[in-house]
Amino acid sequence: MKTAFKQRTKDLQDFEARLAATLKPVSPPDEFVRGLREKLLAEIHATEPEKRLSTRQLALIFMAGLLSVILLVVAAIRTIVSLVLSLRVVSGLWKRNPRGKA
Amino acid sequence: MKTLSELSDEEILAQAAQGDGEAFGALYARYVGRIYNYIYYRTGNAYDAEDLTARVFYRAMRHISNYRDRGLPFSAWLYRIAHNLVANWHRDNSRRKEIPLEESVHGRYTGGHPEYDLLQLEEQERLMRVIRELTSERQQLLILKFVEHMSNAEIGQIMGRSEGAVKSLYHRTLLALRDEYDQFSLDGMTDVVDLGTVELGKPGSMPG
Repeated sequence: MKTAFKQRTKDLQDFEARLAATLKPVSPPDEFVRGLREKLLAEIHATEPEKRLSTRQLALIFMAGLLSVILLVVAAIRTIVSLVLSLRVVSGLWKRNPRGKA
Repeated sequence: MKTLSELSDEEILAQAAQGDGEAFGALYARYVGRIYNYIYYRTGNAYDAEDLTARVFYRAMRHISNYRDRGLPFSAWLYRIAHNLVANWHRDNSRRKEIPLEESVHGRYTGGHPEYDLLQLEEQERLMRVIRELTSERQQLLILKFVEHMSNAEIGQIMGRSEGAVKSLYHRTLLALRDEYDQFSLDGMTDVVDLGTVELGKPGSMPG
């Protein structure tokens, strides 16, 4: 029984050795490795400026948006203030001279 | 300041994901050989191995910014891409006859006796044919184990299985492969005997 088990184990080990002899690592051709690296890097560098530009564009758009909102708010406040002041002036004049005489 | 070659995969990966070409180049240099080997043994020829290896790295490059660390090594992600591309390749080429592994088996001159070398090469060719009849999962396991010399734990990470499951699958694969190989060798010998009978025993029965 033990001998049979030992034999089976040895058979499998022999078979593993055959597999190891068959499945050996191969080296990709140097020319292929270099060429592919160059192509990949070229593509990365070609897309990099676009990415930077888009990041810059996003920052600019954000800044422009922020400035626009601030300007709008300031303009709105100024309009309200001038309206209120104008109304006060008009109402003051009206109180002083309700019939419109100078 | 560490150079790229001194950094871990994860550190380089973080830089590559930010669009750093040199960082991606470093990852490429680390894995191109392994991915090529894997694809070479899965497809059986150098031309398709080159084509698919290039596709793996192009795909990795385009999707590296979307890469999410799920606790698996970066290599597992690359092997997954390679596995999917090889599966597509096999599907597309299913009607076409596969080309044998001519370069891996042929031309391996060991410097020994020519007859012995020839026998060795024939045996390796037979073995490769049987390996290529296995399921893609079992082929992957054998390639990672024998070509990449990975441990069961590493193979498990790549194949998405536990270490124990890989060990079990490996044992079953080995037994099945040995039986298939023995059967294949016996069939081959029978063919030779049959051919001999036709040629020597019944010369008039041969056409032409």
